[in-house]
Amino acid sequence: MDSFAQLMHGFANALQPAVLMYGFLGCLVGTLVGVLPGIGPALTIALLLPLTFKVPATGMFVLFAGIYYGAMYGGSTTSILLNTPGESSTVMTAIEGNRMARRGLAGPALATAAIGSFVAGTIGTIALTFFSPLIVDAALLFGPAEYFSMMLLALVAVTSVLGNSLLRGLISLNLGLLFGMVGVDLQTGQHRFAFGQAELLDGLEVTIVAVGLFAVGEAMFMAWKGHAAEGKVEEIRGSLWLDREGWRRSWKPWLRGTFLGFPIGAMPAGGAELPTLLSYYAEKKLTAHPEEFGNGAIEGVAGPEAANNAAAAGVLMPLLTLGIPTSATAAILLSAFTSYGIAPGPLLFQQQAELVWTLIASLYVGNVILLVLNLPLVGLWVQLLRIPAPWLYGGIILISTAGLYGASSSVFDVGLLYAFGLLGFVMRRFDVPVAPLVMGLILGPMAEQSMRQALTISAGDFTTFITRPISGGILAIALLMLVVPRVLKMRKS
Amino acid sequence: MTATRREFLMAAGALSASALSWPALAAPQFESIFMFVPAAPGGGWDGTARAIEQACKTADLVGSFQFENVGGSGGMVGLPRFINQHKGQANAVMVAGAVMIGAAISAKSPIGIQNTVPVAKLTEESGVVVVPANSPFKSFGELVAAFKADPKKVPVAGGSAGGTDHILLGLMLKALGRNPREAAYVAFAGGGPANAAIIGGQVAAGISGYSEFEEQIKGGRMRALAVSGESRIPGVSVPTLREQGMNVVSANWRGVFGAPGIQPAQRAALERLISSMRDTPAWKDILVKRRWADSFQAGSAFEKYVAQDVNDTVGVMKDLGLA
Amino acid sequence: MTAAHRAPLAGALALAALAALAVWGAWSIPEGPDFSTVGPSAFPRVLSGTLALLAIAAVIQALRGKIPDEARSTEEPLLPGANARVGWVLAGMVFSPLGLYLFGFLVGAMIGFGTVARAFGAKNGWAIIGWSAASTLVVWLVFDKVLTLKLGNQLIMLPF
Repeated sequence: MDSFAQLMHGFANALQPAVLMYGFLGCLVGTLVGVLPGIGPALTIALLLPLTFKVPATGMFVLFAGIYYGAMYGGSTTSILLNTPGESSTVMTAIEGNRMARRGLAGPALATAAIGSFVAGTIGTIALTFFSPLIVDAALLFGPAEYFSMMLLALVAVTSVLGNSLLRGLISLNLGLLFGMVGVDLQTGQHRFAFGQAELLDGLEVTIVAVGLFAVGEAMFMAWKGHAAEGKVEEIRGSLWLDREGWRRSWKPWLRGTFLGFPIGAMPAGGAELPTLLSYYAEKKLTAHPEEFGNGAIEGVAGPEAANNAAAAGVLMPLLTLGIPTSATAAILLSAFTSYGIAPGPLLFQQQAELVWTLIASLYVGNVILLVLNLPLVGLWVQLLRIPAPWLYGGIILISTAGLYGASSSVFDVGLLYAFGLLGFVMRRFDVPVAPLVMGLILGPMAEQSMRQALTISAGDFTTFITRPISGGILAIALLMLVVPRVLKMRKS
Repeated sequence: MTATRREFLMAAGALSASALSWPALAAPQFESIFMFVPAAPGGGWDGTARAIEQACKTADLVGSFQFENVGGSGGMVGLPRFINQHKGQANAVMVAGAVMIGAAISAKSPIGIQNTVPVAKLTEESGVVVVPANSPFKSFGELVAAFKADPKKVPVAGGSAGGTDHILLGLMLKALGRNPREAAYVAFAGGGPANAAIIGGQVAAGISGYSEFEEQIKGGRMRALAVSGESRIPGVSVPTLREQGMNVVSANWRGVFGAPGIQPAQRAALERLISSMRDTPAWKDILVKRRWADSFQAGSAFEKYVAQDVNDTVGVMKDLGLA
Repeated sequence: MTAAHRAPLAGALALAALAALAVWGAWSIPEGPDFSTVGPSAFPRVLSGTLALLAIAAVIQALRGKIPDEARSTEEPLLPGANARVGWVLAGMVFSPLGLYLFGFLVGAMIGFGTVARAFGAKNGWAIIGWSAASTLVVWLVFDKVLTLKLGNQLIMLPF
C-alpha cells in the first residue's frame, strides 16, 4: 500500500526530536487557547503567521496542527468545570458536563471528554489518511438545498435541549435565530438590525454571545444566589478516572459522535457545532438512562466531545485534497500554506508528499501527546474548583474580557459581552435555557442563507428542497425524527 | 515558546540596536512605522502588511513596526479609528484596497478611503470567470449568450453581495445591455463554500479573484473562461474580457495609505519608503511566492486612480441597488 | 396579583419590548434589489413576528404565575443581600468597559475582577486590589508575550 509506506516515512519525520518539539509546543499552546474563552485556534494561528518567515514549513505545520487539535481538547475543560465553553463547539458539552461536575463527577466527565477526543481524533485521522478523496467527493454533492434541509433536521434536534418548558425553550431558540440576522445580509448587502452601528454590520459573533451567556451570565447568577460566596467547595466524589461503568457507557457515544462529526466536518458548510448537537440528540434518544439527561449524563459529554474532535479532522480533508477551507481555522492554514509558496489542492499530495505525510503523521502523534498531556491534567483542572469563589469568578470574568478584547481590541465588543451576560442572568433566573439561543445563533444564518442560495439557483422554485434526492432524504429523516418518538409515546400510553 | 521568545528578544534588541549600531550608510528611513490593518489577522490586507514589514526589516528600511488590527465590515470599523486617532501622524500607514470602497458605499458611510492620503498601490489581482469542469458552456461566448437570454437562469457564485465579485458580474451584465439587478447572484461567505459549490456543479458559473480558484483551474476541476484585468495574467493563457469583445476591466487592488492631515514632505517620505521597499529583493521574492501581481503606482497618479475607482464603484453599486 | 408574580412579569414585559424593537427593525429593512422569492426581510419578519407571539404568551403565563422565579426557589433559596451582590457585578459591567476605554487594559480589567470578587463575598479591599492586580498582570503577560495578542496598545493609558 503506497500511502501506508509514505505514512511510515512521515512518522519517521514526525518523530524527529525537533519536529516532535514543535508538535508538543503546539499541543500545549492549543490546550491553553482552547481553555481560554474567546480566543480560538484560528486567531492563534493567525497571530503566529509572521513566524512563517523564519521557521521551516514542516515545523510550522506540525506546530499549527498541534494548536488546532489541542484547542479541541482544551475547549471542553472550562465547559465542564465552570459552565464556560471555551469554543462554540463545546457549548453542548457544557450542558451535561457541568451538571456532572456539580454532582462531584468532574473527573469522569473530563476523562471521558479527553479519551473520547482521542478516539475520535485518531479515527478521524485514519479516515483522513485513507479515504479523503472518497469522502470529499461525497461532501461535494451537498449544495445549498441540502444544507437547508440539514438545518431543518438540526432544528428538530434542538428540541432535545429546550428544557423544562416548551414556551421558554422556544423563546430562547427564537431569540438566537433573530440575533443571527443582525448585520449585513450576505445575499443582498442590506443592513439588518444594525441600528447604525458599524460594529454590528458583521453580525453578532458566536463567541461573544456564548461567552457572555455562559461565563458572565453564570458568574452573575452565582453571585446573586450567594451560595458560592459562602465558600462551599464542590465535593469531588468517586475517582478522577473513568470506572468500568463509565467506559461501558462512553464507548458507543464516542463512536457515534465520531461518525457524525467526521463527514459533517468534511462538508464545505458543515462546521463542528452541528455534529455536536446531533450527537447530543442521538445520545439522549438512545440512552438507557434518560432520567440522567439534564442532570449530568456521561453519554451527553462523551458523544458531543467525540463529534467535535472528529469534525476537526474532517475539516482538514477538503483543505488538503482540494485546497478548500471550510472553517476559519482552515482558511488561516490555507494562507500559511501560501506564504510558503505551497498551494494545497489536488496536486499537493504529489508535489509536497514529504510535508503532507509528516503533517498527517504528526496528527497521530499530536493525539497521543494530547491524551498523555490531558489525562494527568484532569486532576489538576479539578483543583481549579478549590480556588475561593471571589478569585475564581473574578478570574473567569478577567479571562473572558481579555480573550474578547485581545481578539478585536474593541471596547464595544466587551460591552456586548456584558450585555449578553446580563441576558444570561435573566434567563437563568426565570429558567429559560441558554443553549437553544446559541444553537439558534449558529443555525439561523446558515438556514436562511442556504435557503435563499438554493432558491436563487432554482430560480425561485421551492420544490427544489424535495425533488433533489439528498435534500429530500434528509427532510424525510427530519420528519421521522419529529413523528416517530411521538407515535411510540402514544402507543406506550 | 522558543520562537516567540526569540522574536520578542529580537524586538527588544531592535530598539537599542536602531539607536546604536546601524552604520550611517544603511540608516533606516523611519525609526518606526505604525501599521494599521482594518482587518483581522490572517486576511489579504494583513498578509500584505506583514509582507511590507518583512521586506522593510530585511532591508533595514525601518527600525521597528507596531501593528494594530481592527477588523470588521470590509474595513469600515477600522477606517474611522485610523482617521480619528492617527490624524497627522507622519509614520502611520494603513493597508487597504478596492474592497473598502465598496464597503463604504454599501454602508452609506460619510467617510471613505478618499479621506486618507493615498501613498502607493502595490498589488492587484484580476477577477476570473469560471465554470465547472463538466459545464455545458464550452466557451465564454456560450456563457454570454445564456446571460443575454435570461440572467436569472444562470446562477453565479461569488463572495458577499456588493463585493468585488458581485460588482464584476454587474459590470458584465450592464455591458450586455441587461439590468445588473437581474443577476442570479449566489453569495457565499468565504472562498471555501463558493469553491465547493462550483466544483460540485451547484451553480452554472463562478466569479472571484484568480488566486481563489487557481488550484481548481490547474487541477482541472474548473474551466476559466475570462479574466477581468487590463491584460492577461502572466503565465496564464486565459483571455481577458476585452479580448473577447466585452469592454469591462476590473481588478482587486491593495495599497498603502497615510493618515489624513500629514504634510506634503511627510507624504513624500512615505512614498519614498514604499518605493524603496518595492525595489528590495525581499519584496520581489514575496511577490513571486504569493503570486501577487505587481501594480505599483504612487503619488498623484495613484490618487487619481483611487478617485476614479470610487466614482466607478458608486455607479455600479447604484445599478445593483446597493447605493 | 401577588409579589411573587412581579419579577417574571417584568421579565416577560422586557421580552415583549425586545420583540417590539425586533418587529420595528424587521419592517425597516429595505426589500433590496433581489427579485427572488425570499428577500432579506422575510426571515426577520417571520422571526420577529413569532417572538412577539411568544412574548404575549409569556406575559399571560407570567400573569397566571406559571413562570418560575429562582428568587423563590425552595431547593436552593436565595441568600440575603442578593441585590447588593448583583449591584456590584452590574457596576463592574458599566465601569470596566469605561476604564478599559479611558485608561487601558490594566485599569479596566482590575475593575471587572474586583467588582466580581466583591460580589462573591471578598471583603478585604487590599486583598481585592492585590489579587486583581496580580491576576490582570499575569493574564496580560500570557496574552501579550506568549500569544502575542495586543490588549490595547499599552497596559496603562492616559485619557489625554
